[in-house]
Amino acid sequence: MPKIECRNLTKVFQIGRRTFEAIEDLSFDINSGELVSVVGKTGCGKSTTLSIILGLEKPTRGRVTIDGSEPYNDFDSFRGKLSAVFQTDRLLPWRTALENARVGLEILQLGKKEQLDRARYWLDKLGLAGFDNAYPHELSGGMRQRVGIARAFSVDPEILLCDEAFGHLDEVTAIKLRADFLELVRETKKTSVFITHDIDEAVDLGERVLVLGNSARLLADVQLPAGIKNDPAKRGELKGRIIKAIERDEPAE
Amino acid sequence: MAVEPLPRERSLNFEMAISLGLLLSSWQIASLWLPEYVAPGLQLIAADIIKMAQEGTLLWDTLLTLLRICQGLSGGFIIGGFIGVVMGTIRKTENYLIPIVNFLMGIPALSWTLIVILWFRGTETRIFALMVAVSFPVFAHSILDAIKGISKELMEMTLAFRPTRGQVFRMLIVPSIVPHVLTAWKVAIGFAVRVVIVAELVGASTGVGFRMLQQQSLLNMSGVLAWTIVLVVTGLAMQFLISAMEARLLRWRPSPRP
Repeated sequence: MPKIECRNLTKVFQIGRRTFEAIEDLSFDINSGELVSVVGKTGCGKSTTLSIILGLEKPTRGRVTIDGSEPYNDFDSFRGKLSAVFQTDRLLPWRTALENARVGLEILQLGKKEQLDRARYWLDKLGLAGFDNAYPHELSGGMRQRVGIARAFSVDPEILLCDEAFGHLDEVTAIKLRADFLELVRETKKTSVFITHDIDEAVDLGERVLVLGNSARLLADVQLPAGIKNDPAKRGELKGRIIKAIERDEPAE
Repeated sequence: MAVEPLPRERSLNFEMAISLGLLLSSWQIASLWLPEYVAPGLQLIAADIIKMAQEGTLLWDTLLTLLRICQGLSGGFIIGGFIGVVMGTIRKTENYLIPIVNFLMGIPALSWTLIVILWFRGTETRIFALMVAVSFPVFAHSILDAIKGISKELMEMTLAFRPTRGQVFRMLIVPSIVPHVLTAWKVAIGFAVRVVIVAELVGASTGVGFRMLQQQSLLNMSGVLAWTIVLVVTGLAMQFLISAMEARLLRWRPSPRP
């Protein structure tokens, strides 16, 4: 059984008197342990898809299930199972790095010592040893995002959802952080969904790429062959096909 | 990257000393030419303050006035806070409640003074009601703004971990509204000091306002000024206390560049 099942998912927003279809009949499966990138243009409905998987938005029609339960309707049953890394760090400004990293653990109501130990472990792992007591405003953008990633990993979730997690950072910082992040995802074998508008990032992070068109219609579902990441020719060709599909908003060959 | 203490503006104290010194010395010079009932010398005012301290009224009447302010503002904070939370969390209640709050906020403190005298018996009840009436709209507004200002992004981040209601309240809502609450207290203290004096002038037989009236009826200008100084200093001390709490509770904020 797939870990995440998305069936005929449709999301319609009502803005004033107009309705706007953010997601139109989207279906896909993600298996346990898979690393899946979701790529598409800005505004194509990919962030809404992530919000629905995370259980923060209710599907208009269709359903998303994780291990058979719905993240929106069975909201509380997902405590400790899902983590998200957002485009901006979303750190609580009144908490230090360590206090931010333990937000999820506090919600799980673990013992205080375990909370601090685990939060510290993940901060160290993300290269933030010694910054425990720094407030977010004292850290650089890249460091803040690292705290956000530590916060996501610290609860040891089953699924990790990332929404343009590196989109706010400068290119050099993003490359380094992306690599560190991927290593941690591989090491912890988390089922992961990376949402991005950057095709290179999608190919770098995923083992499989879902290409979305307007209203999140599935244009392609590509299992990346081994070795493609380091083969410029094949990679370029794949990238070209993805761009073409998104541009034409038609299913790719 | 250690957290450094907020930089202190040393020169500020120096400048403050100069400006206050100028004020006091020009007063003292004026007192040499003007009659005592217009501008009594500083030595007369100081003598009155010493006399008040010896008689014990300085301490007790000031404390009483302070207590009235604190009680009244606490009442206003609880009521206004409750209204603010209701408006901020229950859909559409703001549309119904805000006009009422704004209308009540428009009533001058003097009108309230007359109203509470007709409505209530007993000095303390009247003063309490007056303080609540003038302060609760300020608190209601500020708490409403604070709740509206809670970041949707941080709320989503927190909710993704599936917190309980209590956890959301403790981890996100309270820390988000604390800065607004402190600002509201500063504003409220500022006018509470003025309002409590009016109330004490009109209907009390204790407190700083009453003592001031007493001195005035004795045509003792230095006494009136002595109590006025006590009042101003008390108000400033309360503001200072709130500022100190701000510095402590909001130390996570980037330090302001002077």
